[in-house]
Amino acid sequence: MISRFTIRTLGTALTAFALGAPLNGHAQDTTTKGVRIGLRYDVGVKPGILVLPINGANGDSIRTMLMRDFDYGDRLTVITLDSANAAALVPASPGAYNYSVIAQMGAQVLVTGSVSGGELKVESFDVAKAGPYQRGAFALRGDALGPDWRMSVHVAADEVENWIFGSRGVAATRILFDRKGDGKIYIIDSDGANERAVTRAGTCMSAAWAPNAQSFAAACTGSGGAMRIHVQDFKSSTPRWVHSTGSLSAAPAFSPDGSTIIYASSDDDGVTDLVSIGVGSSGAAHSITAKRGGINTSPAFSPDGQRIVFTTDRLGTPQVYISNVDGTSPEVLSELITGTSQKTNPDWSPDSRSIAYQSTVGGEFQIFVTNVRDNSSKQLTSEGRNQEPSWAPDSRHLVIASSRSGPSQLWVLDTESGRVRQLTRRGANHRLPAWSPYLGSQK
Amino acid sequence: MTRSIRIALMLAGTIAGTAACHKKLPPAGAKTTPVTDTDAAARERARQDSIRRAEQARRDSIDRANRANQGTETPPGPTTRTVEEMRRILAQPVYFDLDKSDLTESSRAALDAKIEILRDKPEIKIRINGHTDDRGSDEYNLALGMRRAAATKEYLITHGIDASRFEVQSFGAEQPAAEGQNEEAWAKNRRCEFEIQGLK
Repeated sequence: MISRFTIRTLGTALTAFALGAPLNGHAQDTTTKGVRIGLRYDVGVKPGILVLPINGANGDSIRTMLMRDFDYGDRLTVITLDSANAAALVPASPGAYNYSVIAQMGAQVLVTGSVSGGELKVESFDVAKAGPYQRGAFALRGDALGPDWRMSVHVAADEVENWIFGSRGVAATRILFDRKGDGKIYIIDSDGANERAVTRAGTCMSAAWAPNAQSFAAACTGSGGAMRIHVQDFKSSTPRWVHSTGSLSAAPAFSPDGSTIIYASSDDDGVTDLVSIGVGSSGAAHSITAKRGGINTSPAFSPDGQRIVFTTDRLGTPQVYISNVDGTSPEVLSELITGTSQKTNPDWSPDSRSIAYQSTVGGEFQIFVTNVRDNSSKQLTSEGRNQEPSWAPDSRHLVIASSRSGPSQLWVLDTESGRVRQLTRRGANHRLPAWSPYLGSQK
Repeated sequence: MTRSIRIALMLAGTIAGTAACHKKLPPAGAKTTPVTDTDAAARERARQDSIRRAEQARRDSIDRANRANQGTETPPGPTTRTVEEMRRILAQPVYFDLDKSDLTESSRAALDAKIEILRDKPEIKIRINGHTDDRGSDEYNLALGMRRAAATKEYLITHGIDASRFEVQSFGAEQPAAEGQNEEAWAKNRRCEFEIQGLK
């Protein structure tokens, strides 16, 4: 959450301070109290972060983006100051920050930045130690304020979080989705910017990221009428590989190494099985579920690629099952098998620990997360219809389709705090979102 | 009425019945209206009646959906039907229960009318398109629609029509016949539709 801080005596304070803290380029190990990851902070308390005005071209936009990214990450409390008040905190002498005032505002981390020569330089300061903490330079790619440029700023925000927590943020990510009745696959930045269609012809649904984020798979109906699996590069507008078996091929998922796709294949006898096929292969798909149950669909891999989680009706109503990748050793995930509760659309968290899925509660789908180790489950939503969860790379945030505000939109759900934010706002009937891997290392 | 609601109502009835059998004595001086076993039995009967009425309403909505497309007049025999009459009968959708691919009595009657024509006109081919309502997950519904199309095809085959005359396809919940979040709309969307080829 963003906290608001009013400064009444800032000008006086700024003229009265003097810098006495030594410059220190490296973080010191402080393990006495609190949590030591980067900076020291207390468990359950979100450290405060203050971003000062960014010098150079489009500095205001960069500052706004950084603050929003830190806020959306749900690990930091962003101290919001308008530009004038923030500018008053910039010292006349380089590095001579008034740490006592900044600390009074609740900030434990101070961030400054400047743009020059197509590069964003970012520096962070440890307010408690009154000195520099970490710094980095980030190339601003593409046209100013364009999609690549914005992704560069997200990369910087994620890296600042990495300095503080020892793990990157997830701002430099995107989400694929489709809209029911529309037929195109869309992509949108994690902060809701740059929404655009990535497919043109056909009617597509159920997009899935290739692990290298260069391409995606989707289930698409062409002119022939049958639904098939397409794999398309983001740089292209047409699929580079089309594959199908049986009468209908749907719900594709890439293996973590990107070599294999598993999907749901329906035969003329009405049985829907999970099958696997090498990406690009012209051979036959291998059966995984081998006609166990009438319907097997919505698969996802475990991060190590050894197991899968999927939906099956082999107990009657649809339930979530885990099995080995070849279909052996199937076991039901959900601890409670209630006769009429449907559990579908599972997704395995990147850290392997959790599986998110949707389950009916009072006739409406709600989002649940099950801890894989002890099989304990937690209901995360209750307002409207909430479905089709997909994990962010941080294994903390989920993107879901929700009807809480009317016709289905995509929302981001923080599984730790329960906080939600609306991701999409244009159109309606958004569904089947898929959160990308981290995109920051892409050229 | 869904199965879960029926179970909830029955459970509520059981709990209420149990409570009626294990009443605590009221404290001295307290003004109470005694609850008799007759009252509990009457409530239980009312509950059961309510369950039966809801179940009947659900059945009726499916039958209405079937009848609405079948027309009320007795169709003429196959030799005297016009092409348009045959097309209408062949194209009549058949309807299903929630999350089911079993053919209901009225759906079998609609298919029997088609079988009569298909036997008489071997040149006719049909694509059977399975559809669902939108209460399940969309990916699951694609599979459920296929199961409905396959069950429909199976019925026609077991009544002597050659399998090579049919194709099956599923649209899941992608192409609803009726909009709305109510049983009337859902009943119209849980269906198989028929695309006719070769009827002249």
